[in-house]
Amino acid sequence: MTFRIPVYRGGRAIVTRSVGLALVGAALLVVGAFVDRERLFYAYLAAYTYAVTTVVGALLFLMICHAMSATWPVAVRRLAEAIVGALPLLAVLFIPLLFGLDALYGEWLHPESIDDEHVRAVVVHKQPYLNLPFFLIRTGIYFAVWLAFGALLRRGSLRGDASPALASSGRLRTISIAGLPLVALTLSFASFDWLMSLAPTWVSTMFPVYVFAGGFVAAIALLTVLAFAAERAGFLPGLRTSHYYALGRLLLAFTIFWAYAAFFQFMLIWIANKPEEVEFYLLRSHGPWGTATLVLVLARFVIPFAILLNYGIKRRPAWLSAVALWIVVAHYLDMHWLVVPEAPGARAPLHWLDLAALLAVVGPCVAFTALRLRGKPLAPINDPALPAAFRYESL
Amino acid sequence: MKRGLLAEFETPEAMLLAIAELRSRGYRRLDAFTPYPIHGVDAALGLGRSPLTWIVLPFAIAGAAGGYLVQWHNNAYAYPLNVGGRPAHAAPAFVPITFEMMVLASALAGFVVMLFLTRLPELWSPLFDVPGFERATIDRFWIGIDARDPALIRPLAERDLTDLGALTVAWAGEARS
Repeated sequence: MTFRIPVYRGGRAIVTRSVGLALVGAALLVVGAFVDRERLFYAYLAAYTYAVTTVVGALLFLMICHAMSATWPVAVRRLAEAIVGALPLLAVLFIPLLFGLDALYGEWLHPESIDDEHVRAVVVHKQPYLNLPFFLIRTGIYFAVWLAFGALLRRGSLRGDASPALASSGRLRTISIAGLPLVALTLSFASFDWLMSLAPTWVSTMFPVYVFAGGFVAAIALLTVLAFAAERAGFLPGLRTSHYYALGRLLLAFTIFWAYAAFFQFMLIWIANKPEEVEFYLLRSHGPWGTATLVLVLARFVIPFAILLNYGIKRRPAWLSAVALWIVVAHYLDMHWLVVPEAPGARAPLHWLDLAALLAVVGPCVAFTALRLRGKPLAPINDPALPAAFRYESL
Repeated sequence: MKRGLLAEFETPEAMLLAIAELRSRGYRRLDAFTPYPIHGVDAALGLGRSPLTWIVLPFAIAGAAGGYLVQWHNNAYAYPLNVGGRPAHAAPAFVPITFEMMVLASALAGFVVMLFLTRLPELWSPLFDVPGFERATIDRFWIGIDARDPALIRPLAERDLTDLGALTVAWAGEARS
């Protein structure tokens, strides 16, 4: 069974629309700078970590598939590579955050301004790690690692489209095996630096696992949505029920994994009841944030879990994509829930700046990804495993 | 099946073709005996999904509910203890055991119900008396037509199977009276 994979030529509408929305978002952010500058950066950080964890999640998925020489994911590999293609733009989109470091990380940037003596001592103790130059160096390293492995895998796979000899060499597998620990560790440390340090006295060793799991689920969910869209548009003929079933199983498994990480982080902190640890959950358990926590648990775990448990739904592409889209949105709620409660002063959970930041970050990423995908077939056409990947069957 | 007509095939492809052909001729109580799982044989035989998942679900719910109830009864109702000022009804602390009880109940129920549904353990079956049938666990692929299949008329079925490429055709169990 061979399928002719057409070259992706569309995307004009996607690009113009997402650029339009991005411009609207950016304009609103500029207005927001005069309305509530502090809240602006929290909104931006939530949207930014949402995009970056999803994209790095896709990079990890891609590397795992290469490292395991897995067959069926070859059918959707080009789509994962497309998501990873957003990385260079995400590195650029980090720049606005540099102007908000004082607003976001003021506590550890200027520990002398902390009133409480004990808290000050704890933050000063962390200064060898939490200081501005080292923070910037680390962020540089994260992007260097992600960009390097993203580009190596993407370019290697695209080159294979031109020459079959390159597509069948095991080079991408070696790169992936070497890169997996590096990418996983940099994502963990990025979650320490960008998210956990919002509350510099709070520590949780489960936190990077939590962020990692969330990004990984979101990446698989986005991949499912893209696979369905590509198949419907006729760019990926030969995708079968079994491919959706495989993606659906992964979605279910990693939704459970996210819930595991989330619950055990909560349970251990709850049961130990130490003041410097429980602040994270106290902040999120009262008033409107209590509702937000409940919504997150329902949206991120209970609802997708209950739906994905069903065998038939995992084999229905339209249904599965709807659930996957839901998970993609729920991942934003998760990042919002991690970032925004840390904003000083009792602020309402939702603000129009959240939507503006989301448009300003996700819009350009979508346009950039679509542009980079143009003129390329939506599957690695010369990969020796591709025919077997399309034949994949799972009951 | 305990009684019926058995046919031996050399390759899984030949067996799958024969099953499809037999089903199109109206045979409904077919079975396959293969040394390893063959792709597509479930669909060819027209087998549905196992009902096991739905049978296990109530056991899972009962296990979880029971696990939670026991903890609540002991810790919050019958013998409440003050553990560092935590509430006696400490729901987060109950979750791991509730979960484990759900897993235990589903695993045990799944195992026992599976044995029941597949009628295992079956130490001997009349099929084993058919000469050469042991190769179904080595390198041959067997089809069985259950004696209860209303479409089964023995001489016709034997001819059908031979035409489809069966190496041997044999009757298993007591001969039809």
